[in-house]
Amino acid sequence: MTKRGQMGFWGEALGRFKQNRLGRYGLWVIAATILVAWLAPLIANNAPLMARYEGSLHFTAFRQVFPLNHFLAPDKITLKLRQNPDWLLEQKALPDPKLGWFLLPPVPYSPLQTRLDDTGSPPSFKASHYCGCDALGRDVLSRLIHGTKTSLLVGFVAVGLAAVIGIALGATAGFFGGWYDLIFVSRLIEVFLCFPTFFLIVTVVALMDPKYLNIWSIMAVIGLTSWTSIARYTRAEVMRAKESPFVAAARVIGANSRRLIFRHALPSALTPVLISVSFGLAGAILAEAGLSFLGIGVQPPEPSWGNVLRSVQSDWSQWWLGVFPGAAIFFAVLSYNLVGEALRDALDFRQG
Amino acid sequence: MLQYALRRLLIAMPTLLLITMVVFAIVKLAPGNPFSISQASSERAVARMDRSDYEALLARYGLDKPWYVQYWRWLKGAATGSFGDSFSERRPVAEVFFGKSGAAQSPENPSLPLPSLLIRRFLDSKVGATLFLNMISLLLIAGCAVPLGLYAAVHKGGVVDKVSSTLFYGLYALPNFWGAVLLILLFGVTLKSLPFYGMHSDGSDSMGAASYLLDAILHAVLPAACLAYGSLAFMARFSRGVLLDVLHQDYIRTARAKGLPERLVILRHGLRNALIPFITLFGLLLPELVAGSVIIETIFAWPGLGQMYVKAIYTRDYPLILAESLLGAMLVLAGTLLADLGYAAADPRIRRA
Repeated sequence: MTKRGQMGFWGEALGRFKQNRLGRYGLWVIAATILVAWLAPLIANNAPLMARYEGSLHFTAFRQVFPLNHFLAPDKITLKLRQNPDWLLEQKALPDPKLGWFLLPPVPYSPLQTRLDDTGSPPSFKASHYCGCDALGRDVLSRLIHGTKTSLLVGFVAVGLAAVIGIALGATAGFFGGWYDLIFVSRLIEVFLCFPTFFLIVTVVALMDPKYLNIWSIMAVIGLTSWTSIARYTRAEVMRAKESPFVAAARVIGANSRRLIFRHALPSALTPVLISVSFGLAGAILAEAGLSFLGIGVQPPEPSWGNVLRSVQSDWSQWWLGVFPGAAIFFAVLSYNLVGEALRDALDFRQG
Repeated sequence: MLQYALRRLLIAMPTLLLITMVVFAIVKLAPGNPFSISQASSERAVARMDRSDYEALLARYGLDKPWYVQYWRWLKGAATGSFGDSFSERRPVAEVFFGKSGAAQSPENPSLPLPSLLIRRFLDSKVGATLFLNMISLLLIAGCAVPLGLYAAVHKGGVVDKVSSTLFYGLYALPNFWGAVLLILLFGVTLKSLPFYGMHSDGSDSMGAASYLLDAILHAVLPAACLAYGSLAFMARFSRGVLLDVLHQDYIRTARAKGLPERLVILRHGLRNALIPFITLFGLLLPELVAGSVIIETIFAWPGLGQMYVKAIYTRDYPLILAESLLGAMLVLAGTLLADLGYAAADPRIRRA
């Protein structure tokens, strides 16, 4: 129970966090990337936000944001666009009488839409290809925007998996100790530590059966190889918490092991885990981008920052394929690192 | 001190063994074998083979035995130094590492003078190529990090310090494959001043020793820079921090009170004490270089161990994969061991722990 005026541990930490300017910027960038990932169909799409077709109003782009859209019957504009993705872009030249007015998103291209006229064209405002096109004529900015969802999804799921495994193994090892900790968990952590993480990820992914290679297996691999730091911190903190008086008191009252771990030991151990998660997110996004760059991650035509960056290697004169995706990766990873450091400064009061 | 070192080495052994088991398990769990993953033409040949011929082929390479037998066989060989034959190159793994590159098939010109011969032999091998690249980047790191850190610490709060602090933070956060792309775009394509593919230019066969070496060094500049910049940024910031700590010590104050010129105070007393933690951290650079080599060598088509690793993975060349993973893990262990030993040498309290 905290009295008014005393904010308690988390309140103080939050105050310290708010003061960290770089951390705040990082948080804004992270929020922006999450928003962009969620609303990508409204920002970059060849389907209109609003259009009047055959008398009725269609909100095609908004339908694509709706999660159950896959199961609903497609609307007329979607069908038209499936036949001819450039339909709306051609309206100036070949107006369709059934179409009234329409409003396209800021980037009027879909990430999968190939336009043979535009292959390998540099950035141009006139053609609305703000970041240029790749070798197949797909708009780079659109692919980057839709790729945000891929990168963030991989990051969050992989780190979630790593956190679950890490906390489970670390907490049990720290709490029960004995041979389970010494021979199994600690040795396992040491073995994983001996491989540079990316090395291990590349090895596992490259050795996998290509038919299982999709975004979910990549998430699983990244998660299964990055749990070690979380496990180490959890184990150390639980070991410390185990000796503390409040755990002893709970034990005296008669709490069983599970209750002791979950309700008493773990909550105080969560501090370094939170910091580790933030850095882990940065690492997971970086790993996914690296894998896609090497060609063993997300495969085209599915857009990902890494695989757009990869295409610069086939033609070095197309600099826009190298600069923009890399910048996206860089700023995303930098923001997560900044937030992680700000969290560390805010929560780790021992540093004094 | 020796006792501590022996103890650490002893503890490292079971970890090394576990590593070989983990790598073997990963490699064996992977679907496919060297014959199903091979090039399209031989894949069709394998598909057309009789079942018995296919099994004979597997037996010839020992791939039909159960996994524990295969592992034991490999372990026995590894203990004696023979890591088997590479499937894709059909020669012993040691030869693939240390011998002539498979691609450099031009016969050795026996009339070359000795220095030229030695240099070519060294750079032609995969191990030599990777060592060459990593040595250059280690030189870059060591040569640049300390002076930069020193300058920033001495002129703390100045323009150089603030600018370099932000710059280093940015460099450290720059993903190494993007850094490589940017460097190639800048120096290779726009300015066309540095080569970014392979290790030799055309016509290198007829060069003398000095120009051959120079050509290789020129090709190594971009890849080594990519390998080095992340660690360089980290080391520069670290040495700045260490120097700041050292410069606040009492003995520095004494030296100044004695009347020594500032330069001697900083260089002779400050720097020397700062170098100890710096050197120990150097050991931890080894893992970074091992991992970085794989990506950088692939991007720049540098004919070294990293690029060979990626190729071995794609062709399911088990002996190569296992040998190289073992090498990588050993290097990482060696790095952490060196760092630990360095700490123990510097701080006697650790030795008794």
